[in-house]
Amino acid sequence: MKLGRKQLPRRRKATGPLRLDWPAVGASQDLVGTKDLVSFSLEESAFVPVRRKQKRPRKNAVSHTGGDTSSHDNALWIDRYNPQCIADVCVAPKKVQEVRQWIQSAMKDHVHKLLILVGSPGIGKSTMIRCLAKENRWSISEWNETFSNQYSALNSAMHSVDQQSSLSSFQEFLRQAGTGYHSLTFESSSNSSTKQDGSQISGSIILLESLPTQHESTQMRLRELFTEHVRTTSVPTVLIFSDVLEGKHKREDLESLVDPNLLYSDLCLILQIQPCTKQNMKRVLSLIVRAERLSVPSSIYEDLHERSNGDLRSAITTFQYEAMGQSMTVKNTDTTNRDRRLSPFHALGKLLYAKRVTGAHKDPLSWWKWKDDRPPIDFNPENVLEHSGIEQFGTLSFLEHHSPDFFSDISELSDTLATFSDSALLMDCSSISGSQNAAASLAGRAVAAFNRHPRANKFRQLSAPKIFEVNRNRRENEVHLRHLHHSLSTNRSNELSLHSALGATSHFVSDSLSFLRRIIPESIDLSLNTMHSRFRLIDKSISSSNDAKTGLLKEQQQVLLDDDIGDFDSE
Amino acid sequence: MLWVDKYRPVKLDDLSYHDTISQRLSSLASNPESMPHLFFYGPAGAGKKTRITALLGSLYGPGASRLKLDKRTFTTPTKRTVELNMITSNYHIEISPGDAGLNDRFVIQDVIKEMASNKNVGASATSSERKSGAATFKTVVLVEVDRLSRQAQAALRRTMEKYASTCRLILVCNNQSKVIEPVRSRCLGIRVAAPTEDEICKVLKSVSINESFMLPDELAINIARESSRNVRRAILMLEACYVQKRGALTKDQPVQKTDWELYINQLAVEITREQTPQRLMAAREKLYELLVNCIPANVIIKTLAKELMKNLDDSLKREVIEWAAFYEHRISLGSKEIFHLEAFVAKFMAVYKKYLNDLFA
Repeated sequence: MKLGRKQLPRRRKATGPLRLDWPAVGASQDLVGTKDLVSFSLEESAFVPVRRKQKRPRKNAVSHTGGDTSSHDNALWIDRYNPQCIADVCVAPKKVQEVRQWIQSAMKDHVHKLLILVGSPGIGKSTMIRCLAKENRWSISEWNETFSNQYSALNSAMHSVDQQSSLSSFQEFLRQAGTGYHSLTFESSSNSSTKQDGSQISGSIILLESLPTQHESTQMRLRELFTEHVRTTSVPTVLIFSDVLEGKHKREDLESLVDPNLLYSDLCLILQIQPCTKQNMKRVLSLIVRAERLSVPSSIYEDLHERSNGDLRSAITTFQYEAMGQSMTVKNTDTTNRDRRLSPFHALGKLLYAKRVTGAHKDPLSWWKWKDDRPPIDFNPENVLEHSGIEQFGTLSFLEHHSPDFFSDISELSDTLATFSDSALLMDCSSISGSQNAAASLAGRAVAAFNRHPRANKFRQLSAPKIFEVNRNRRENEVHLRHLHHSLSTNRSNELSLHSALGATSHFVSDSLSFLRRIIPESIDLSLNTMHSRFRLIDKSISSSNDAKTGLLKEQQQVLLDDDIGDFDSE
Repeated sequence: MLWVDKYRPVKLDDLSYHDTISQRLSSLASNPESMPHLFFYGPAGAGKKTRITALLGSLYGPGASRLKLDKRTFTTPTKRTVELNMITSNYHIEISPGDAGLNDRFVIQDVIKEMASNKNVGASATSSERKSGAATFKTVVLVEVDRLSRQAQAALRRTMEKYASTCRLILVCNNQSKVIEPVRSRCLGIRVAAPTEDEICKVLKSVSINESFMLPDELAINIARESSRNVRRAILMLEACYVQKRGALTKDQPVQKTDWELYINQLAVEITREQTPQRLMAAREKLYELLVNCIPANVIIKTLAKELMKNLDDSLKREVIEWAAFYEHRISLGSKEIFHLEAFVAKFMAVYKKYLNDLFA
C-alpha cells in the first residue's frame, strides 16, 4: 500500500508548527517543505477540523483493531489502512531485507548511491521505503513536481525568489539534499514529519517518486543532472520507477536517465519488486473486512486479485467501491476491470507457441476437445490480440514472419500461410463490416489450428518482420526508378521515346531495364548504384547457382550411372 | 535512340501485323465524326500505343506527332496538390491518371472537363488551313486505366457521357477485367493480341535490314521464343545481342534473359529441390529481393508458376496452376502481396512434397 501523495503535506502541517518566516534562500528541500506549509495554511485552513476528525480512524487502522469504525466516513480505505510498520507491507520479506541492507550499508560506506525500485504501480514500493525509514528513524527528502509549479508564484511574491522551472528546482533540490547536512539540521529544527516521536534521526535518504516532466529539450540536461547527482551525492537515493510493462522496465528508459556506465556499476542497484501475491492480498483485504465488519464471499479475494493484477492499491479502491454499493457479488461487471496490457512480444509468443491446456486442471464445462483430440488452447486469441496493442497489419506480419520457424511439417505450414493469406485479404476489405475482427481471429488462430507437429521448444528471437524494411526500400527504389525512367525519356539524347514518361514503372522494370543496362550502360549504371538493392549481386549469385546446378546435375548423373540406369537425359 | 523507338511504325499502313485491326482503324480515321470512345486492351508489348499513335496521326495529320511534355498540378478539394506529367500536342493529351494515386478521381474530372471546354484548334482554324475531314474533337488518351480506383472509374463513366460531343477518350490497359463494366460498354473495345513468334521474327528481320546487319534465322527464332511474344522486349533483346557481339551476330549465341527472370528460375529450382519450413524462409528472402527491385507481385507469381511448370510431372500441373491462379487473383484483390506470394510457395511445396511421398511410398 502506498501513501497518497497529497497526504504528506497535511501530515507535516498537523504535526509541525507553522513557520511563515522561514528563511527564503535556504535549503531547497526545506524551502519546499516551507512553501508547502505556507500554502496549506493559506489554502486549506478550512480543512483543519475535518482532518482532525479523520485522524482517529486512522489510528485505529494502525492497530488493526477495527473497533468503532463501522460507520462509513469519507476516508478512503487506502488511506485508512495505510500500513504503519514494515511487517504490514505486502512486499516479499526477502526484498525488504535486501533494501534495508542496501540502505544501511549505503549510509555507512557512501559507495552505494542509487537504488532503483522497479515494479508496477500500487504494489508498495514507496510505502516500503517510508516504513523502513520510520522503523530505522531515517529522514526522507522528497521532491515533488507540483511544489515548484504550484507555489513558485506565491513564493516569488513573498520571498522575491525568481520563478523556477521544475528542472532547476529539481537541480536545487538534488544539490541541497545530496550534501546530506541541511536536511538533517533543518529537519530536526523544523520538527518534520519523518521525525515524529522526537527521537534521534539516524540518517537520511532521498526518495524520488517522480522526476521532472521530460521534454525532448530538457532530457539531456536532466540526465546530466541526475548522473552528476549519483556521482556526488552522499545521501543514498531511492528512485521509484513504475513505468513498466508486465512488471519489467525498458532498459533504455533507465539508461536515458542515468549514464549506463554508472547504472551498471556498483553505485547503483536495480531491484525488481513483484506484484502482490494472492495470499498477501487476501491477508490485507480480510483485515479490512474484519475492521469494516463486512461479510463477503470468500471468492472475492481471488477475483479482486485477478482483476487488479496484483495492484494492491487499485484492489482496495475497487473493494471499497463495491462494498459501498452493498452488492458484494463476484464477477459482477467489467467496469472495474483494468485493461491488462501484454507486451507485444509476450502476445505474439503466446500465439506462436500456442500452448494448450494440460489435462491436469480441466473444467468439464469449458473443457472440450478439438475434433482431432487435441486439448483446447490455453488462451483466447482475440483477447491476446486486443491486449497486445499492436495494430493488425503489424501482428499479421509478425506472425507470418516468424511462423515457419515453429513448424516441422511443410503442409501444415502451408495451411497456416494460406490462413494468413485469407486474413490479409479480409483486412483489405475494410468496407465489409466485421472483416477486421474476422481477420484478427483468423490470424490469431492460424498457428494453433494447424501446427500439429511443432518444432522443439527453444528460445527464438522475435525480431521485426523484414517486410517493413522491404516495403520501405521498395518505395524508395520506385521513386528512384521513376526518376531514371523519366530522365531517360526526356533528356537530350532521347534514349526512350516521350511516351514512356507516363505510367507506372513496372513495365519499364520488368521489360526494359535489364536490357537497357546492356545497351546503354553508361546512362543506367550510375543511377542504379544508388538504389537500395542487393539485386546487383544477382549476376554473381546466378553464376554461382549455375555452377551449383551443373554440379548437381553431375552428381545426379553419377548416382544414376552407379545405379546403372542408362539413357539419362542431361537436359 | 533505341531501336524500339526508332523503328516504331508511325502510319496505320506501316503496321506489320493484325491487319484487320489496322483496316478498322483507318476506316474510323477516314470518318472521324463517327468515331466512338475507344478502349485498347492487350498484353504488354503487343503494340497498343503504336496503333494509337498511328491513329492519332491519321486523324489530325502530322501535328499530332509534335509532342511536348507538360507538368500540371491539380488541386484536390482537400487542398492537396498533385503533380502529374502529361504529353500534349495541339490535338490530344495523354496522361496516366493512375500516377495520381488516391486522387486519381479529381485528376480525371479536371482534365477531361478542361479538354472538353476548349475547342479543338483545328476546328476553329480557317477552312483553308483545315485538312478536309479532320476531326473536330480533341482526344484524351488515358493509359493504364486498370490502375484506376473504383471511384475514379465511376467518375470517368459520368464524364464520358457528358463531354462526348467535344472530346473522345482512348483508354489503354492490359487487363480489361479491372475496368468496370459501364465504362467498357461505352467504348469500342479493340483487343490487340500479342503477335505470334513468326510475326516477331518478321519485325526483327525488318529491323536488321534497316540497320543493315545480318540476323541469322535461328537467332531470330530464339529471340522470339524468349521474348514471351512481347515485341518491345524482343527488339530490346536483339539490340542487347547486337551490342554484346558488336554487330557480328551468330546463330547460336545465347539470348540473355532479364536478370529477374533468372532469379525466379533459381528460386523455382530451389523450392523443387527441398520442401521444408527452412527452405521456405530462404525462398522468402528471394521474394523480398524481387519486391525490393520493384518487380510487380503478379509478374513474380506468373513467372514463378511458368518456371515451376517446366520440371513438373503432368499430374501435378493442373493443381499447381490452379493455386497460382488463385493467389494471383488474391494479389490483384488486395494490397498485401507478400502473404499471398508466400502462401503460394508454401502451397507448392506441400503439394510437391505429397507427390514425392506418394511416389516413393
